[in-house]
Amino acid sequence: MKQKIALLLSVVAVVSVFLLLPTPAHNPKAEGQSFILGPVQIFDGEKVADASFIEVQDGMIVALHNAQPESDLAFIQGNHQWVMPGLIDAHVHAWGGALEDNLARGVTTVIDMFGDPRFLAQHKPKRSNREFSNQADLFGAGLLMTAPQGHGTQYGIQVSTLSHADQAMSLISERIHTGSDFIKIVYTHKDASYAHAPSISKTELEASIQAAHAQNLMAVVHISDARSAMDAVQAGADGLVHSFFDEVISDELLALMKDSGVFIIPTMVVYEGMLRGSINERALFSNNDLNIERSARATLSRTFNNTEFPVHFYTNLLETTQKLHSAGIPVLAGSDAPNPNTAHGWSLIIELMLLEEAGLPAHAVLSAATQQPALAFNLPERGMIAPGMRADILLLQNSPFEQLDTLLAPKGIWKNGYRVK
Amino acid sequence: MAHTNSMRIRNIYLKESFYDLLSLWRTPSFFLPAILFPVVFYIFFGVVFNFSAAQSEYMLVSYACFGMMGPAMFNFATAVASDRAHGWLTLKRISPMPFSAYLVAKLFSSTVFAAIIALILFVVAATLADVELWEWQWLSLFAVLIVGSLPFALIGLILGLYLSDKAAPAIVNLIYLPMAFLSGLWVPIQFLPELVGKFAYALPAFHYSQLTHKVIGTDLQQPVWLHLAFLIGFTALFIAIARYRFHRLSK
Repeated sequence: MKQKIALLLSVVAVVSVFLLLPTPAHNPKAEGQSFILGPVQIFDGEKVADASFIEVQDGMIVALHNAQPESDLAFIQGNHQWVMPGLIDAHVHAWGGALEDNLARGVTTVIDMFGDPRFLAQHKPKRSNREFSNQADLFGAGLLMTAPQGHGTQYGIQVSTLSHADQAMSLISERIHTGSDFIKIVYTHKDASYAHAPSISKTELEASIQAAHAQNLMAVVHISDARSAMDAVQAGADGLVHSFFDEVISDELLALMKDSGVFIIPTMVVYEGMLRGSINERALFSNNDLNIERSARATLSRTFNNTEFPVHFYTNLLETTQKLHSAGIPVLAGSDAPNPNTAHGWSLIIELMLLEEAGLPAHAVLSAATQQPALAFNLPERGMIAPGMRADILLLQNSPFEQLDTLLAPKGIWKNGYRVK
Repeated sequence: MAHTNSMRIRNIYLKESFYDLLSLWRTPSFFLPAILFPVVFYIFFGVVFNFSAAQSEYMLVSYACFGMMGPAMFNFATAVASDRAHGWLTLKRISPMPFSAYLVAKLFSSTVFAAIIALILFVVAATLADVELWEWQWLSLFAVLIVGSLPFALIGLILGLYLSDKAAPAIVNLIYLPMAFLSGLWVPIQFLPELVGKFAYALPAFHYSQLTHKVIGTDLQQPVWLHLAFLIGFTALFIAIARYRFHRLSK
């Protein structure tokens, strides 16, 4: 008898453990990828849309409505909250769990600015289907173009390097072969006064950009000072993947960028870590409502060793960003995560706060992480809330126009029409 | 008559299983390390030093596999080796009890401990690492973990039949720990050199962990039948070896 009671008790214990084990709040596969969401206020990636209901079928946005349409589709109550496109981080380095970490924060697409081509190849097929996924979609540069021992060769990924302009064509072909969506080139002006890794020459930079264009790929350039930026734009770069802070941008460079249609990803959040280092504490760590993973905390708290920069460098950075926007140059939000001072997902929102601090108007700030990167990198079906777009959607409690920090805790995240949060 | 006979046999199996479990329960030096090892490892690498939001789930699966293999191998290897050394195995064999009751009892007791370890890991993962899985995932994870531990019990049995009671624990560790590492249970297999990844196909622990990872979608995307075939093959091979050795010992 005693044995039977013991047996019964242990069975009850096991069953109750299983009943108590936590399950996710949403079952994306059961809920499906077709629904009507509303009434909501919609930032469509460019402006506030004149509609309040979103119709999604099979993971695609098929229509926007002003009134709730007659439909058999599941209805999701929007409670007049805000909706905007899933975020796009235009500058990350993704490996390991980066894509999961990004999607968990509402970043539905990331652009990798140099990483293992095998990781890119592994995740590429997913971005053109609309199956359920718990990962952000990945577009990427694959291997970068750099000089022997140049920046980019120190991370343990085997990179073929450029030591003569003649090699540019074959190196680009090699990158196309390994799946690069565009070409990223690392360049530093030969007279740059700060400590830097060996760089390709300006001739080699020009040859690389021409070779990329000849094979119908975009060429973006990593620079970190004003003179290198000028060289890159003169050489025909399509975009700059960092800004600079050694001086405020010259009118000459502004005009040249404007004329050539060059965009910029300032990655202010990384520079903020070098030059000021207070935003993470202010916007993230001091907010006890945020559940920031230990791993994210680790990279957010990491600092650069060389922090002896003049105070005005940070104001240079803000002023340059503001001037770029005022001149009509596309400013794209990119976090450069997981570099020091950053973490996947979190730091894209911090980057938006810094763009706001630099003086960009709210719609430009939000557009910098939605429509702008989609346009600049030709990302199909992304960056907008509009018919024909993929249903990558964020539901926000407050207006992102008034409170950017509402993005830190989205109420709902849809990827390919599947609710993942 | 046949009815009471089968009742009696069933009773023998139940009694033998119960007392084997009781003897394990009275050996905290066995079950405490067996439980603490995977749990502490998981708390270290899945909770405290987790490097990504998705890592806690991944590590839960890996360390659960790790935790299942341990008691299965140790319980069989050390108990069988020492029963052999002390003549207990001979006594069991010549007693009227069907000898399979001895094996079933061992399998039962190690399964109970494996289940306890799995449940503790699940609760730790749910409470400390915020792991959320679907009900079917928790259940199938549990089922795959328990059923899949059979080949490791057989490895333990073979070692117990070959080794002295003093050598058994050392040799088990010598197989258990490197096999766990080379199968990607400590560090994900993708991060190990390519050669290790190829070699892993020869290890039952690799196929075991891939099947369990499939439940949460973190496997290497190889087909289920491949891992199943390997595991069934290993199980058949181990049964053959154990039988061969057992008959040699009976002569």
